[in-house]
Amino acid sequence: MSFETLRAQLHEAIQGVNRYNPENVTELAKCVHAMVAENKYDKDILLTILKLYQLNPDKFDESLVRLVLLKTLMVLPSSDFALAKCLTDTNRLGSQELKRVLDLGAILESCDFSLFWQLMKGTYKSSGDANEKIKQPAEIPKMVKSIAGFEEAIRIYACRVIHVTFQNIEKDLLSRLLGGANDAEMAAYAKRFGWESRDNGSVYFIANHEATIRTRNIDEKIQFSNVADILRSISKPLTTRE
Amino acid sequence: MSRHATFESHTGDPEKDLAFEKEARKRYISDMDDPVPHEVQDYLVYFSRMIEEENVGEILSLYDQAFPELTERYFLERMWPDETIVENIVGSGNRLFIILYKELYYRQLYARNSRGPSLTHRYESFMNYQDLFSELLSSKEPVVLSLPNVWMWDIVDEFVYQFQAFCLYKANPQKRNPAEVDELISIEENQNAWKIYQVLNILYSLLSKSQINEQLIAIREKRNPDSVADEFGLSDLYFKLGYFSLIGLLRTPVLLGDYHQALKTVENIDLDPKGLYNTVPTCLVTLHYFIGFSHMMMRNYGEATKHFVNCLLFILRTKSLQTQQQKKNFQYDVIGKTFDQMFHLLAICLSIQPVRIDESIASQLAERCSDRMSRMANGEIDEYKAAFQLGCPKFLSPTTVVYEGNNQSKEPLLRQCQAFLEGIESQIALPILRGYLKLYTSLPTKKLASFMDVDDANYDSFLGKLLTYKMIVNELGKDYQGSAIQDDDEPNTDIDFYVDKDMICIADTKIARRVGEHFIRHILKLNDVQKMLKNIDVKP
Repeated sequence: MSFETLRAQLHEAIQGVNRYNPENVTELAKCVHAMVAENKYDKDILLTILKLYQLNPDKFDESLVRLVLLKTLMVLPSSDFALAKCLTDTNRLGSQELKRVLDLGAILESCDFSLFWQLMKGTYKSSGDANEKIKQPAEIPKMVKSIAGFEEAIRIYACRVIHVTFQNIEKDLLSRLLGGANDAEMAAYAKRFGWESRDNGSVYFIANHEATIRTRNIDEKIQFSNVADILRSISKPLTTRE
Repeated sequence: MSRHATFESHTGDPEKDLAFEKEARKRYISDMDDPVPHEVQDYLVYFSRMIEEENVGEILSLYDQAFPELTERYFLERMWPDETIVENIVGSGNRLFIILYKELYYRQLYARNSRGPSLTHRYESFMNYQDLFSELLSSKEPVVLSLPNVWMWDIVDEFVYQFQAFCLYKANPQKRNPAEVDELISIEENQNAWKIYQVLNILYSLLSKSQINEQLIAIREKRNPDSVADEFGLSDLYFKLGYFSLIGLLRTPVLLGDYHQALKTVENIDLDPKGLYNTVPTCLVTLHYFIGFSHMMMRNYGEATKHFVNCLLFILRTKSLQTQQQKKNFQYDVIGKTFDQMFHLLAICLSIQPVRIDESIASQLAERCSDRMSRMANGEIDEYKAAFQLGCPKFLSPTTVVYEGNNQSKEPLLRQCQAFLEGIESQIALPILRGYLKLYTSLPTKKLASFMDVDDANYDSFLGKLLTYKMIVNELGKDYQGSAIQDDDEPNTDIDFYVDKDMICIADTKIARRVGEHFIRHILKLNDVQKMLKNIDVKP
């Protein structure tokens, strides 16, 4: 069944107290798989299934939790990933596979796109010592490629944070942050976010932040309404002479 | 003998109709072994009658004032009389009164034992709540009963609290004696007390019975709420219980780490001075604390700050009132405790996303946490951890039952704390970054990178820190409709920046002290004092 059909049915089924009905687990799981395959998203369904795993430990399915966590990473900068993490119990998080998703999450949450693309392209060099955080870096691209649209979602995420940070950005840097995007791809993102190519295409103008982010000194302004109470409390009204 | 001391004479109540009470008392006058003081008997009989007569004003003073007073006078060493004795005193006709009395009775048991009540009492208390709610929910027509707002809130709040207490009890084997272990096994096998599904069912049933969500939506859209309500929804009792259940249901998912669901539960409650929650101070505080906390966990630090500050301001304003109330009440000091907790959480939020807040709160915060906050600004993650653990609620795992071994009731807390800290780690560079940015009006990115000991190979990763900073400050993660609290057009942050190619341009906002506001407040105060002085008759 397609995602849309499943979703329509489930939204009826998880209203109110029925959100906690463990019988929904199977259908919810199907829907999560459909979401992954069709590159769709529904926050309520993802969080509901985690909730049910939490309340019914016998139904817990680690591979599905992994999918849910990966899906929530695709909607960064929304806080869905943080929410999903809070719904996964401590004793479950010991496994290597889940740990890997969380590590990936930490990289993305700190906007370290450079590291993310290194991992994806297999150019990441492991330091080899005991403190190395990323164990088996080759596993990460395998995991990510199984999710339709993941890399594209991360590019959009990068664009959104770039949009609020930069006024002008050099094309080379933009390309690097977007995982080696080529000119045509960058032009497409620029169109989508309203950026302009400048200086013979070596720079993208993002937005005029200069106009809104300015040094200001704010003095207190007293409005008439602030002193209205005082004026009212002056006991004798002024009278005009007859 | 105390028999002449009627209950009324103590509350100063002008009620003249004593015939009924006298008659009731007569039944016991001959019984010299009767352990229940006459004054208490009078109180119970009168209380029962007021419940029957739906006299909310009287019920409020009986509940709020007389009960703690009598507790102090007669029941510090022993418990209030149990249900059979009370039934003998007031007669068994008023079943609802007995249930309500037991609600108070068990609440006392919970409040008094620092180690918590026995398992039997926990079980019985649950059964009593079940009786109460099934009385209300399975009735064919609305039950005739009027209760003061504060009691209705206390019922819902205590119900959730006792559920929480039971979960913690289940996870901690050290709190039990051997007999209780067997009892707990049988309760767990039969699944008949304090199960999460039972608790949620009751609370959700109260919502649907009262059509509270439909009614609140109607009110928000300026339609007549009565048009979407049936006889239950129209009943004051059901409407208010439904309303308070929403807030009870806000608390439950937070304790289970389900912040999105928590905020969804209260999405129809408007935070404005007209809301019902304003009539019960503990309810207001609970609502703000849990909403604020949920936002913090969702990384909406700015939004969380607003809720904490508003709530702290409310507590400060009403503090003198609260301490009076507190003295009389034997209940746990929710407001005082939450007040302290919120400062710890506020310290976290402001360290990551500094905004301008009310000056009275800012100065109190500095007094309490300035050392900690300066260490947070240096990126010391342990400080965040300590503040989180002091400020967070008691998290639960409803499925954990431990029969022997170590106490595991802290596990859920550790999980939430860890999830929170993982998020903080991604943002830990922010306060440090801020420290550098403050010193410049423009700064090349490469230079900042070298300040932070970043080599060329990691330059792009370093840019991530700038991106994260802007992501947080711009609240990109926020998809939840914010509260009704309005922003003025002044920027909230004192420092902001943008990056132009490889140059960071920094803007800082300086806000002059609000002298005028201060004077206006004091002029009004002085006016009030003068008015008061004028009214005092001074005889020479």
